[in-house]
Amino acid sequence: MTKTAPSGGRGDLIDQVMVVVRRDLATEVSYQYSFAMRYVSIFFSIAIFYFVSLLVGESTQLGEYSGRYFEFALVGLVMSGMTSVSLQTFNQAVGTEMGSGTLEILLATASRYLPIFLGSLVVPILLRFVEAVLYIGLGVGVLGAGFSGRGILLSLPLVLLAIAAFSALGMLASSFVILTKRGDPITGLVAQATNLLAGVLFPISLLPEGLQVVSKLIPTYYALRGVREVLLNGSGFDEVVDEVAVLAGFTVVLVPIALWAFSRAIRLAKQTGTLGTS
Amino acid sequence: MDESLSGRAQRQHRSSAEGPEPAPLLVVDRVTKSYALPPWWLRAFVRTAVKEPIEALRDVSFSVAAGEVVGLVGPNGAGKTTLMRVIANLLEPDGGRALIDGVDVRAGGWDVRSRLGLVLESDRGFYRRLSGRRNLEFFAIQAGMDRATAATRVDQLLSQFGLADRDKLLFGYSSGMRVRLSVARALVADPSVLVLDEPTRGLDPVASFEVGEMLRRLAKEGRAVLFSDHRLDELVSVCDRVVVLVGGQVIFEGRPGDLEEGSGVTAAAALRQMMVE
Repeated sequence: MTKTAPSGGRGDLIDQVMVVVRRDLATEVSYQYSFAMRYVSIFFSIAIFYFVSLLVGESTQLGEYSGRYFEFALVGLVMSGMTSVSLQTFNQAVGTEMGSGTLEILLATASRYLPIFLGSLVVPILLRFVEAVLYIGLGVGVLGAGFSGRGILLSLPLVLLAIAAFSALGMLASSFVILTKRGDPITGLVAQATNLLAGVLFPISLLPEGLQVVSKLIPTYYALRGVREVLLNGSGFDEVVDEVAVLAGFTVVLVPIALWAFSRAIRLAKQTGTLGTS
Repeated sequence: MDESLSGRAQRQHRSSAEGPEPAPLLVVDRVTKSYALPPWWLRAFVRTAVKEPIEALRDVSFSVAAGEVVGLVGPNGAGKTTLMRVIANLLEPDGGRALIDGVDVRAGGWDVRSRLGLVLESDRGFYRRLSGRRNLEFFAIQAGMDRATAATRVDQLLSQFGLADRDKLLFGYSSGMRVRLSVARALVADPSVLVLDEPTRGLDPVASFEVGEMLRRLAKEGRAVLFSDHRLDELVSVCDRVVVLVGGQVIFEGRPGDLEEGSGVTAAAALRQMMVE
């Protein structure tokens, strides 16, 4: 037999991430109808908030952002989409891998967690980026929203840090999926709490003071504040350093906790014999 | 792996002829496993079929050498799948250990995992929206190959298993093609130990016979092959040795010929009798 298999090396991380990306892209495109419809629906979503903004007019509650509700809501929609996909990607991927039986094959034979985790994030987030471009493009080009051009570039580190923090939360949630098989107590709670408390569609100044304290425990609050500052007010990076630092702090704390919880969940599933069930 | 399997097979053949038996590639050493209730704090979240602890394996020991095919038989619920999951480190035993190339599967990490090829349920463990080729490439690259090596390896495997000209999305594969693809996937990293749980389930007699031939061929290349099957006639025709598991315990281990000697019945009939009793 000619030997072509590896001789103990773990391979190239980029190759391993990219093969996951190609897998997810091929799967996504194979569902053509759903792939197309997700972009068509954006127009309806954005139009709703445009007309709500006409109703709201120039709100004094949004004085910080010159009272512009449409732009405020547009940023909220885009960021909420980014954070929710980061939160849900891991546990959806783990659920799918468990259901198809590939999780057991990957755990039992030569493979690593890291490229599979990283790779499974790429396609869903890229698709959200395309959505974000459509949201902003339609908002600016068709419905007259105004954003700072420089702000779009400056918002990238904030968006990426928010994705990292929420991906860690998503990995934490996937630990529950390993054990409970379906559903988890984290993603639903965090997604709802984020929409209500983080200032996605209305400023947190409308919330009772006690809840405003809770808002400041949610990473999205800082991401939204920073992104709105650079996009709506044209601020520079110096003015959002605090938000960047807080988001980096969330990520640094959450990633090791999530990795530990995931390993622990796999170990518990191996002990209870529930790894192969779905 | 730093040694080709064909080289290992030749060495095994030489040492068998010259002297002592070589060290087995797969060792199951006094493995015990009970399915217990999850810890109290987890019971609210985890649903298991277990209402009280169930002893699934008790002190199970046997080994498989390079070039050998060992068949694992037993009635439903005998513990065959549990044992295979322990070997694959998908289930932690309460006691005992499984060793691949002398290394405990729980401690071995990447090196041990790259020496194990696993087929659990032959129609699962694939990405159904990808072609057979794309599936194999995925597992080959995850196993540490670069893209070019993976492509060569996948070509080789598809050709070896008669799937090279049928590269379509997986949901278009027949049951027999999926079994062959499962074995091809298990061989991607050129493992020295192959473990297959009921690879012939759902196959017609011709496809089932071909799987048996394939297992013999893979063992000849120097691999240790362990597989379970309910088709006793075919199992005894393929295996060098048989391990009979009943109620989580090994009640017989030996050559199919041993079963026939003095019993006056075929090996398959003797096995059937053993499981009924």
